[in-house]
Amino acid sequence: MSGNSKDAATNGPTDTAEATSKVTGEVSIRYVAYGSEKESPYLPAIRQLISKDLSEPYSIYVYRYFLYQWGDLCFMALDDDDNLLGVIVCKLEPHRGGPMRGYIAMLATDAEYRGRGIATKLVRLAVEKMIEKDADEIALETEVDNIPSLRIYENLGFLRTKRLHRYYLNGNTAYRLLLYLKPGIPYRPTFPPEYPGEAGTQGQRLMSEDLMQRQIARMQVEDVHNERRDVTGTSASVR
Amino acid sequence: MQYNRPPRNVQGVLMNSTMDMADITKAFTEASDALGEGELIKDAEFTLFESVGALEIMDPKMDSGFLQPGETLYDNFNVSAPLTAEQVVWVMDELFCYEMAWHKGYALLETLYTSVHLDNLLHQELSRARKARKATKSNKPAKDVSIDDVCFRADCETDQAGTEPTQIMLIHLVLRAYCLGLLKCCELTIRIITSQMYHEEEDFVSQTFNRDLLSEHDTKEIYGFIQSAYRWLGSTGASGIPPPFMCVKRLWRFFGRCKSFDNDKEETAVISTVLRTLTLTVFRSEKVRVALKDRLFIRQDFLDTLETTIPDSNAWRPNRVGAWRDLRRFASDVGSQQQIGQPVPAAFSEKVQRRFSSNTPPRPIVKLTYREAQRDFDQMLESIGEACQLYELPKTSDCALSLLRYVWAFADKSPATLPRAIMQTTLFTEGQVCGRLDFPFERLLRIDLRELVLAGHPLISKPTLDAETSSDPGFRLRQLLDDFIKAAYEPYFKMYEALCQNRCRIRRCLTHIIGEFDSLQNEAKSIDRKVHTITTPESSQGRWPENDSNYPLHSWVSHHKHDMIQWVLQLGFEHDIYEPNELGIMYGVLSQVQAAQLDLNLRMGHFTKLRYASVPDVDSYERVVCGVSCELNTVLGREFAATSSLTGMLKILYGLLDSLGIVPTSSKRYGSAQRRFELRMKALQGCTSETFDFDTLNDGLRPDRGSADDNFQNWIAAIESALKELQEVHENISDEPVFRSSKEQWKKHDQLLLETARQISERFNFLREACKDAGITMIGEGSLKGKVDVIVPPPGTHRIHDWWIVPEVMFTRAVNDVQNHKHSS
Repeated sequence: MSGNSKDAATNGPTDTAEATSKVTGEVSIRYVAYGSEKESPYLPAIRQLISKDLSEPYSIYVYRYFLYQWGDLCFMALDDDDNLLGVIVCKLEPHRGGPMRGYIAMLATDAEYRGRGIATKLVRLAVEKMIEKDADEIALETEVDNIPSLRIYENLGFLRTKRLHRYYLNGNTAYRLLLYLKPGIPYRPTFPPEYPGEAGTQGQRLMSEDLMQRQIARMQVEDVHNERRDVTGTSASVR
Repeated sequence: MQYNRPPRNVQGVLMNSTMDMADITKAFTEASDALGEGELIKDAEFTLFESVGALEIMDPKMDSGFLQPGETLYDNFNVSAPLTAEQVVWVMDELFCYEMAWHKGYALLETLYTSVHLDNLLHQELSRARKARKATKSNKPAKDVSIDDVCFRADCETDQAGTEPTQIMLIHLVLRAYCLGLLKCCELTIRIITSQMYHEEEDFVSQTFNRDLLSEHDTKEIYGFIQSAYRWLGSTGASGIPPPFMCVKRLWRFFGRCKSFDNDKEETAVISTVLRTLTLTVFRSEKVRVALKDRLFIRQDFLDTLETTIPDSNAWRPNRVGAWRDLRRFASDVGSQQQIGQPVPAAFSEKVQRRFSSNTPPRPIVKLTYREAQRDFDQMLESIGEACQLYELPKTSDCALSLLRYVWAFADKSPATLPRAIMQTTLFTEGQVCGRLDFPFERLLRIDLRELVLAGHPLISKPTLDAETSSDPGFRLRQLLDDFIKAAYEPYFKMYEALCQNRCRIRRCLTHIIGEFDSLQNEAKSIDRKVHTITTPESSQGRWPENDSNYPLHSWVSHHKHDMIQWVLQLGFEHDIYEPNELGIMYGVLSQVQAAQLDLNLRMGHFTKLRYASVPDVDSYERVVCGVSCELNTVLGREFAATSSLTGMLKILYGLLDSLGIVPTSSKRYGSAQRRFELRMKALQGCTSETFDFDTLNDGLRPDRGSADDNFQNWIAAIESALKELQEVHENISDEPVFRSSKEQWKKHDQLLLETARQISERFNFLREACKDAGITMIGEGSLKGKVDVIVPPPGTHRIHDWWIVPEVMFTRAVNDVQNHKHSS
């Protein structure tokens, strides 16, 4: 998934040129976990914040899928009036029956509050919670030319491991980033073996986890230059 | 909650169904009442996939049937309505742009299927096929599949009375011919691509959304139809070609639905009028008529040439490299002409996809500009030409390595999916590598073995080949080689196949194939031992000298494995996955692999030379084969040595920059350098024969402490010597078989390496001066931090070669100047 790509892009601590923040001055921000008890009253706001830039939004079930199971890995940035300024949505489960893999599925901040390090703080909260829950590694994908987003993750210790050709629905290519939290992760056996889809497709459609993941990611269609794909088709063109 | 009865048609479905149905509304309402507010229940089977597949009805972004107030389900564009010639040109160009977007990897739904004209034809084809199926079921005589049934039919009858006949022909003959040709091209494209290895959704979307792209219609028939249109256009000018009367008559009969004729005589009279009135009034200029003809010609030619590349079609004539070249030339001429189309925006509508996709969200239309589409088409034709070029290789140039290099050079340009599939048909069509009738892929593997390690070896000697009785040692040797070929076939095949994937996949696939070669290596070693026991009886079991490196099969596997490891590392540089502070260690890893490769090559060359010397008959075939192999190993050795020097220098350069404290780096909050190195080496995990030790590699990066002057002198001398080696490689590219199929690519590649070496040399010279300026006399004691900045250029135009990253170094003030200049401008 690629909630990371766009929003974090203008969110990094190193971000100066891209700062689009309209709100200036001190803002008191508090960070809270979504929690795991009930469907939170923040869900509509989370959904709105994340889907703001999507021309093909996730259904409510996508949010529920993550939040119901890993609500403790979802963090929100709120202002004094409880307005949602940023959110990170993650999951944590064994990767192909092997290492415990954390996955950052979505990350978004309100455009008016970018450049304040909210995204970095949200990622740190999620990473630390995952470490506490004994994660072995953490993965995510982001668009190849989303430098600010890459910077956030790389400054925290994530490495680009693979380039994923036309990973997103809009045809953009992604990097997969990974962070090992423990030694010897590559030597842990996985079952089924990694990348069963690596063999490609020969005359048939394949529904590997890889493809599935990609299809999910492809739902996000904003391109890297923040020129959103116009669903009306009036300004439809690709780079 | 109010329970609404299902609509009538749904009820009908339910009643016809044989399933047991029960109304669960009450049970559902009661169950949900029992839940507290905000309480959720998750079914164990509900996965991420289901959640993503879910759609919310009445959300305009997800519900493709959602209508805004006053909106109609479809746009009412009449496909039979007359268009001007300029408008037809525009529609054709738009279709072409959508076609190229589809080739790029977008779905038909968001590209070509937005055309109202294509939708209409596909709908007619669907009805035709349905009728045919019904007829078969009811045992009625089946009607021949005819393209006549696939024509534009407006939803409502159109009064064509006031329309000029020529305009009707423009739609129903010319545009229809173009559309039919286009659909058939798409069908053939899908057939070619899906018959080979590709990645669905990533490379290409083969999904036709339940429409048949004229698969039941013969290409020849469609080709003929396009020709009729072409000739008709020709007849309106001064070319004097007689108009295709029957074709016009057939079309006109179709219009009989709209305009009734009293008798045949009247019909003939009308047709004659049509033919007579093919005046130039519709074609306001000769230019537009030529434009239409050109577009039809390209379509017809593309269709024809495409069909010849399908191995299981009757039209298979793969060696048509000339035809592809001609098409490319012509298409490029036409593409560069001024655009004369007049837009008919209503001929394309996003709403068309509503007919196809009830279970997917509406997708935004994806379109390329005409210029982009032309560029993509041109590149695609160029790459297809290159793939087909392999058919033209002279037989005398049989050289497996040369072929492998050719495929690499082909892959280097990131060709589109169709050319990559055509390359695979060229290589893998059963028993016909490069179109040669007597050339199974296995033979390529045998040639590869012979060239690298087996020339003059008893495994392929004449007595072995001729051995008939099982007691004959040759018989056993042959069996052992066959065992090896059997085991090696798949990994070897996969290596070629991997090179026909997209650039990102090449790296990912190779990572896995390295593992397969690693396992194969063990098998090779065991076969080598058995071979040795037979060929050298005195060494008998257990007395195989471990330090004797003549394990030919093992060496061969190792050679290819090392090649692939290098490619994986190099593609890592190309894909920009390494951070600046990792480049030193990654060039260190590459350097280690190259050193092992070079060592292996020297051993392989050594044994080949020994066998060459031992062939008594100087004119024998065996001697020639050994000679070729010696030459190949020498060429390779020279190349390995030169590239290895280049890598070594880059490693030293990054080590030096690090010791001077100027490699861009950031502190990492999580993980550690060891963990990150472990992650890096995951790509090479399949290779168990090499160990990459973090500490050793890290230590190897540190430049020798000592006088800066001496060190710089040594480094500059070393890079000069590397330059010489590269120059020698460059000059030695000759007409030897090993170069034959890809001489130009080798030359170009080596030229880039030469330029890279020169750039590295400049960097050392710069740093020597910078160190002098900063008063650094001893390496390892002093830093240029704050004085010199290092910028790692991104892939693409900023690097001479994407695989060899030479950092830019400049005085900090120069960087500031550049930045200030940017701000002020």
